[in-house]
Amino acid sequence: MKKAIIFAASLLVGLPAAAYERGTHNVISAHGASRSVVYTDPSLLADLGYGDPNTELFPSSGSTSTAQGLIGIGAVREDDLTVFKRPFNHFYDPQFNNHQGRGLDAFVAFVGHPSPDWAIEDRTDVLSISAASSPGGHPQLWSYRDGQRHLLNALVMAQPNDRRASMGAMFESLGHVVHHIQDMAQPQHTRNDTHRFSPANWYEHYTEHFVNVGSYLTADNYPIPGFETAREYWTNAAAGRYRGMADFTAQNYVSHDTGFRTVIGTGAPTNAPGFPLPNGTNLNGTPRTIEARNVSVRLEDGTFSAETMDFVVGNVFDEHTNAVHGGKLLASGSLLDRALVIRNRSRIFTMSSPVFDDNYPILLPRAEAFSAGLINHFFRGRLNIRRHGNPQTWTIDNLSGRPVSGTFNVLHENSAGVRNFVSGGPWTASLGTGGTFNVSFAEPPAGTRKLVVVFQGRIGSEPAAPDSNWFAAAGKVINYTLPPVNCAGRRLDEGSSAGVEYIHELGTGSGSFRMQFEAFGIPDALVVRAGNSSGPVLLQTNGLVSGFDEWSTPHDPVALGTTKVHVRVNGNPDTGTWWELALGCPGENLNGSNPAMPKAFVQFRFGSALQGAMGSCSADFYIDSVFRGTAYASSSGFGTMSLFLTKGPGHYGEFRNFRCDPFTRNILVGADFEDSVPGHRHKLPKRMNQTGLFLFDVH
Amino acid sequence: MNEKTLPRISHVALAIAFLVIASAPGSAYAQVQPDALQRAGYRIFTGDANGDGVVDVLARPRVVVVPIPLDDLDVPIVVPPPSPPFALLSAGGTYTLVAPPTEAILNHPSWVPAPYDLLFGNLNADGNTELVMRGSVTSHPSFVMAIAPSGTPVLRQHLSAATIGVDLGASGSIVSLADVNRDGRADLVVRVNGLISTVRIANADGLFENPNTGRLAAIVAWRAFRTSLDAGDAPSALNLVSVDAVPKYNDAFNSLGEALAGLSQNWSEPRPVNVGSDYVTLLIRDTTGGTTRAHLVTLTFENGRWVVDEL
Repeated sequence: MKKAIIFAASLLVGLPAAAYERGTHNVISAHGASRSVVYTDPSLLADLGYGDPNTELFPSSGSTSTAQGLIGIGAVREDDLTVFKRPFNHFYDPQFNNHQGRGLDAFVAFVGHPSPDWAIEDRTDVLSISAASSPGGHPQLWSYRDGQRHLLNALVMAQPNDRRASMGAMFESLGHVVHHIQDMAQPQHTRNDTHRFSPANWYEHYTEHFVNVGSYLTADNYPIPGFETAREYWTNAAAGRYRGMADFTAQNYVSHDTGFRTVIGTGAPTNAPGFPLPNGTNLNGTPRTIEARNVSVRLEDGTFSAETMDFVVGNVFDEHTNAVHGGKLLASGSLLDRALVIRNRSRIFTMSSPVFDDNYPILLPRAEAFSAGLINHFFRGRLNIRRHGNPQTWTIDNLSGRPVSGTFNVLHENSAGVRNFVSGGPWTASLGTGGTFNVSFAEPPAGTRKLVVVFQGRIGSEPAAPDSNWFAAAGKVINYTLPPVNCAGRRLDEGSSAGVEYIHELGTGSGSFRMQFEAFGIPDALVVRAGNSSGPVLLQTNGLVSGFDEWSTPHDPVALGTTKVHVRVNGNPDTGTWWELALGCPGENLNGSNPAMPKAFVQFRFGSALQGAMGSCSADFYIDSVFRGTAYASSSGFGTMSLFLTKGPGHYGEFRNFRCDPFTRNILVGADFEDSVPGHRHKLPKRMNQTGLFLFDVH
Repeated sequence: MNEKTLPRISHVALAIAFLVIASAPGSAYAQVQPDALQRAGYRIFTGDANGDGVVDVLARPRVVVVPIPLDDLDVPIVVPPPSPPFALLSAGGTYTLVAPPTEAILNHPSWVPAPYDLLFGNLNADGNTELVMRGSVTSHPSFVMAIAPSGTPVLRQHLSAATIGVDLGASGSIVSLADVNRDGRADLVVRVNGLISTVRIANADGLFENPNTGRLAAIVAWRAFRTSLDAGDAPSALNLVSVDAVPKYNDAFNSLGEALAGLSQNWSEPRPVNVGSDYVTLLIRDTTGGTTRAHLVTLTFENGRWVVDEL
């Protein structure tokens, strides 16, 4: 029965066109992507070997963009008509044939696959239905399943550029897929309403050109669903369900060609033929009514006109949130309506902008959240791989939050980003939630920088496609570390002409290692390489050198591919040579409380003055061929010089360039020193005015 | 005077009067007659009188010969037409009126009778009847002629695809005049293959406008649809409905039957709400049974023309 109820609340109709020039799908997809794990879980792209999703760029189909950009591009391209009519596959009528469902059924023939069959390909790979415009059909290349293939390739392909391209194709595929979820929020797509494809129908045109879609998305925080199968985002394939997007839309809303009718006699709204729901009764048993409501129509010239329109009014039920949206405008009265009433005919109704506007707050946020949920579902496989305590054994962790069953592979990646499978795989396993299993394989080759674990199979209760043994892929990229090895400890060497050559284990610990080398008066040489005698040079002296030196060198066994260093001292052929060498473990301080090459504070004294002394004499003082300062002796007494010298024998001293003031007299130029033994002075074998090397020991 | 003499005198006087009229061309059109163009009973000829290779048009009024009984004889009196002959000569794609034409033009050997529909109506609500000369083939130009206060014809508008957006001479077309928007001015109604295809609305100056914007074209489509309803012509109305909507409205039209013709009497003039490249929404009020309800009628651009999508 028609109720002529005038509501005080006014509706605004015909608001000006929003500033969106991109497609509605692009906007919803961008918002959906931003709410998905791609952007809210920083570890997701990192697990796949990539960086910040806001800046990481991927190529696909001639475009290069971020994950969000490519998802938007895919969502737009799903409507591409240039090759064949993809949109024919954008329909799913879940109520058909007792909820068996159907795709686009027009002109007494199915012209499109059911949307989930096409978008997910969970039942089989599909070709578009053969038509004059696409004889033989075109393969679907941008499905959820194709996206999973791209994800697998993004993990296992050898070359980094190929993997990045696969990531791009994966994101674009996701865009194509979420396009379908968004179409399922358009009633015509769920009610076999064969609206024209070019131009879009009025609902889509109005949404695109007269509605600020983004404002409905940012103003709402509809909960993101998480279902066990991708298909559930469309339908539960059961009567009375209002959860999947197709089920929700088809059973709550009517469309242009499948609108309400009225019962002749009572005038009450009733369902359209072939579509049991919605009918004249809300889910709670109350009737849907025909009511008059005041609306404010914004005319093209910007003025508003107060009007009264008739609407079918009823509830909208959302099983995902259990929300009942009461009093929603579901259809508007036709201009022919009243004439039909007078003649006691079934009324007809139209789909007008007040109806659209009243339901955008429900449909658009739901489309966004379901898009995000489907993206999350796509990436629900999460793994880890870590070293086991046993050599050449690794532990794989299932972090998916649900059981997984399938095949695991491990790849190693070198510094150029090239990946190869490790030997020993693949491994087949079924892991419970949080389950682990161990795999063994030979240690990857030197230069390995990363390790990748890859899974393909089933995740949770989602079945694998009948024509394949897998439907889901997952993986994780970790930084590769060599097996743990301890540093062999500090090594000290000393010697003469024979030198020394050895390989020393520095271990897998991180940090810099220190070396100290001292050659005395007769110079010697040192070369240190990574690994062995042909490894890259880590440090070396400038040929034969004298004196003390110390180096701190980074220890990066992963980069170098070895934990060892090769050390060689080339002793001077002069058999009188002497050198000392210390090598510490990474992070070890060679000068601390346990110095590798102990030093002594040595104080030299030069000359002395007799009675009536005048002037001064000096000489350049060298120790171990290194100029250490000018030695002075003057009329006021001896001069001093303090040095730290390595304890031990073999230090060579030498005075050069002895000179005195012209009037010098009564100055003695002998020299001695005192080392770490208090009160024990040693006379130097040569005086300041004597040339030639002399040996002395430091205690 | 006897009774017989008086009629004779009257006949003579009448004959003299007609002769005066016939021999005094300068005064023949001195007083404008509102329906002069219609009464002129023009015959239309086409040719190339000015030799520019483009069709020219000549309109010759029919000459009425009235037999006047004079004594025992019926004396034929040539009654001058209420409007003179005129020619429409092309020049660079535009037409110039020559009224009356020179003898050289009138007698140009290229003139041949042409199939023209002559439609009469008051296009600007001034009380005078205008003439729509509609060439029934594409190559024959169509015109709107009016009558000046002096009684001479006036070329008001050349009707072509360029000026009004429709080729009135297109194959299968039939053109009529009717006041489709109820403003007192006659409008053009074009049928193609029997179905109302479009209308052209006469403005206050009696000119038919070219709906060369989406908004105007959609409104014109709406008027054509409404004209179809007013005519009770359901096939024409369905022809102006989008392909998808035909089943829905076909059922409704069938339900309404003969009531279709009176349906739009209570509908207001359309006011644009949403105007887009592919869709236009019009606000229309329906006042039936003392209450008014608003409706948003949606038209869409489908297969090169505007049609009603939601009603």
